[in-house]
Amino acid sequence: MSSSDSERMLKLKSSDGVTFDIKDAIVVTKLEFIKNIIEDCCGDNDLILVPNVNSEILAMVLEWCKKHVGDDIISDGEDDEENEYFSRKKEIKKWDAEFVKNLDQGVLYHLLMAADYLNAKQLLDLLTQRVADMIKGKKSEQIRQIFNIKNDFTPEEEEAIKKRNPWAFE
Amino acid sequence: MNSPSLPSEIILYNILTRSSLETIGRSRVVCKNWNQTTHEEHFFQQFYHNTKMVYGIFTQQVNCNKYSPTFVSTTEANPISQLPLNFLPKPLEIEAVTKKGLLLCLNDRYRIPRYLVCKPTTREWRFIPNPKTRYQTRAMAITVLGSIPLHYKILRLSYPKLLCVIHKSGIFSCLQVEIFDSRIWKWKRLSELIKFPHDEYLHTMVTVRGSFYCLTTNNNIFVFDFETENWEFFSLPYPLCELNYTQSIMQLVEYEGGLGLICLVNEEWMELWMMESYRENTWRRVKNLNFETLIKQEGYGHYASPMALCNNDVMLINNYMNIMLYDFRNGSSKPIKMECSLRGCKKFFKLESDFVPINLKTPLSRRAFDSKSLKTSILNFIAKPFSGLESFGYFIFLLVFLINFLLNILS
Repeated sequence: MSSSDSERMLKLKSSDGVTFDIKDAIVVTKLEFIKNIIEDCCGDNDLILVPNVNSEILAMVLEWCKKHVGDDIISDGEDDEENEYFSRKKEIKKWDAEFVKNLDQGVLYHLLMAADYLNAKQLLDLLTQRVADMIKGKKSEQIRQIFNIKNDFTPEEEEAIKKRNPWAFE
Repeated sequence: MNSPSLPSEIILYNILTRSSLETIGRSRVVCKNWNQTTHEEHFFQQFYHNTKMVYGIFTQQVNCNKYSPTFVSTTEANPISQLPLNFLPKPLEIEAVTKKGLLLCLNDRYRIPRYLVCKPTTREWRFIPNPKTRYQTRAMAITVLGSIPLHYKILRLSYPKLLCVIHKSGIFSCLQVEIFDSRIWKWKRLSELIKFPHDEYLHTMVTVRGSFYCLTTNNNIFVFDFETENWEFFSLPYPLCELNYTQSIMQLVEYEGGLGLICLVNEEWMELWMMESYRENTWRRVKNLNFETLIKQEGYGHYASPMALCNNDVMLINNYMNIMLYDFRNGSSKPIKMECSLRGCKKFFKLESDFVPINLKTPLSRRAFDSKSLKTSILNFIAKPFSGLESFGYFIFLLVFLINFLLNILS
């Protein structure tokens, strides 16, 4: 294709049929899944189906992507540009913290699954770190409930394992 | 919106690998799959990469009667490969290591032995009161029983004045037991001595499950429980109890957080057994490999012997001059990059540590201001801030001052 990627218009369709218009394809470079489709497919049909992600979640993912456009552009070494780069990085980090702070568990999990499906590594790192921070200090039974895991140990087996990790159970 | 169930791969390899060792410990009772996975190499590589933890071994070379501990990282995932101990007073000898990355060391300056605990990653350290150092140490072990606040105990086995006892049933060697509890900041000597047949010696040791385990030369196991402060002997079950089952190499190791045993059978096969039930003393063989074939491979020397397990998949082999990492999954071996040769090093201490500061300070209320600890405190105060020559000079000055003072009183 003679036209550059950044001028292409993209359409993403979520699982519940909502279409998102993306004016600048650079926005979705963090989503490897979509990036690969764009690179492989040279046709004019720029409607990409995202069947596993609903509109609410896809909107949030795109919001995150927009904020992170060009966040890994490293300066050419000039002091002013470097300062700008670091302060922007700090600002993005703060924004990320706000972004994950008030998410309820259901939304967080759907976002996580979407990030995994769309192969957005940076977003996945951010969300999984958030979940890891959430389970910090929680007891085993609470961890089971949070992830909806069935306990397949007998009480004796459970006791034996607790004995092997004494520093974790006080 | 209701929560979907996250796939276990994401939970295990993306979420748990970003948590702490405590969370991983607790997640092991969640279900069998989680218990299995959190002991595998693949999981740990991701964990060390994500959390920047340190995992490796302290080797302790002896040179002209001086010990020099060196740290070697056993994982490529983290960039930290050095853990210098130069912030601690010299000379230094490592006695034991805990799961939380705590070292118990002996500082033997001017023949005044002093024990200290430290966390090498955060450079926190503290002298602890001395045990009865006039008795020679046979073995030491340290374990962490609680993390917030930090609670640890130290076990010391030493030779008592009464080295052996003659009974109707035979001659018995004795060892005395001392325990240091960080909560009361004191050593306690147990009144009962450990007695075992005089022709039986303590051999390989490991501390797991909050207990100290030691295999004797008669294939019995001595176990000391740090929590109850009781000990007992039990013999290995068949076939491990047979003295001719293994010609050589019996090494106690930690396997999946519990007790494991590596032994060489018929000088050819290396077997790894794990203790399944502690109440019933049942063991199960979990792995075996043709050790004879392995050490004939390139890179191995004739004196190679298994040392310890990093996790369920990776074993450390002492190759006399260096350490090899053997991966059970594909039978591959590779040497660990080391700054200096391992030559003749006998003692190794496995370390796994984060960089979270711990509070090693003793509460003031716990410090016993008796004359003995006062003397140690004065020595600590004199020696600690100064380098060798300066503190020696300070010591001489004090001595001269005291002599002068005494002369003045007498005249």
